[in-house]
Amino acid sequence: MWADRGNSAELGAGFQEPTLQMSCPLTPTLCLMAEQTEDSLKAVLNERPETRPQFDDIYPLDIDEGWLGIEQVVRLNQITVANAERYVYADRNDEKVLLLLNDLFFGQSEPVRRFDRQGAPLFL
Amino acid sequence: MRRFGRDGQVKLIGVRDVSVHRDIYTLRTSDGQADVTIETDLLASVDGLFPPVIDLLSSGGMPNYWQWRHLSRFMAFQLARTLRIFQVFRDEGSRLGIEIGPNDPQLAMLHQPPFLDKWICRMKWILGRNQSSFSPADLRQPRCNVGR
Repeated sequence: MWADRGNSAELGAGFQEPTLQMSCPLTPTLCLMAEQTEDSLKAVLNERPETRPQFDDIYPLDIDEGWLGIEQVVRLNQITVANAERYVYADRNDEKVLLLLNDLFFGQSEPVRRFDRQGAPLFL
Repeated sequence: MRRFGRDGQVKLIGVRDVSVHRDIYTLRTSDGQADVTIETDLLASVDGLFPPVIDLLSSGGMPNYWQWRHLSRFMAFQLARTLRIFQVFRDEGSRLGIEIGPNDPQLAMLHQPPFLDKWICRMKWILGRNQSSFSPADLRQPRCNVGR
C-alpha cells in the first residue's frame, strides 16, 4: 500500500489516504493494482464498526487491463522490495535485481545474502 | 545453508531457521494445547483459491466475478496476517491500556479481512501486464509505453 507523490512514493499509506495505491505482484509479468477513487474513499470514511461485511456480499467491480511500461515495472518492484517485512525473494540473481538492491541500500552491504546449492548468490 | 550476517561472517544454520516462523497463527487453548484451525481451515482455503486464478490469468483467460473476488479476499488476508499488523495491534492495546492476550492478535486478524475486502472491491482495479525480459538492456531502452 502506498501513495503516489509524483516523482516518489510514500509507503505504508492507509485506506483513508486519498491517493492510495495498492499493488499485488501476481507473477513476474502480472501485477494487480488498485487505486483509490472518490467513491472508495467515501465508503471507507463512512464505514461503521457495527457493520458486518461478509465475503459473499456482492460489490460491483471496476477492472481495467493494460500494459506496464518499464518505468512502472521498476517502480512497482522498488515499492514491493521496500515494503518487504523481512526478506526479499527472487528466483534469479541478475544484474537488474542487484541494481535494485544497491539503490535501496544506498551502497551499503545487504543485510542477508543466501546462496543456492550451486553456490551462486541467490539473495539479496 | 550458509547465511551471511551484517558483519559479513558466514554462519551455518538449518534451512528451517532461515526464514520460517512457526506457529504465527496458532491459538493456545486454556489448557495450553495448540489450535491450528486458523491455518488449516481458514488460511488454507483462502490460499488454495489463489493459484487457479493466477493460472487462468497467466494463460490469457479472464476470471469470472467470484474468481476476482478470490483475489480481493487473498489481498485482504495478506494485509491482515503479517507479524507487523500483530505488533501494531499489541501496541495499540498498550496505548489504550487494554490487556492483549496471546490469542488476541490472531483473533483480531479474523475480524479485519471482510472490511479490507469490501474496501479493496470499491477501488479501481488495473491488471498490469509486463513484457519486459528484466534484462539491463531493457532498463536503458524502454520498449513499451504505459497504456490501459
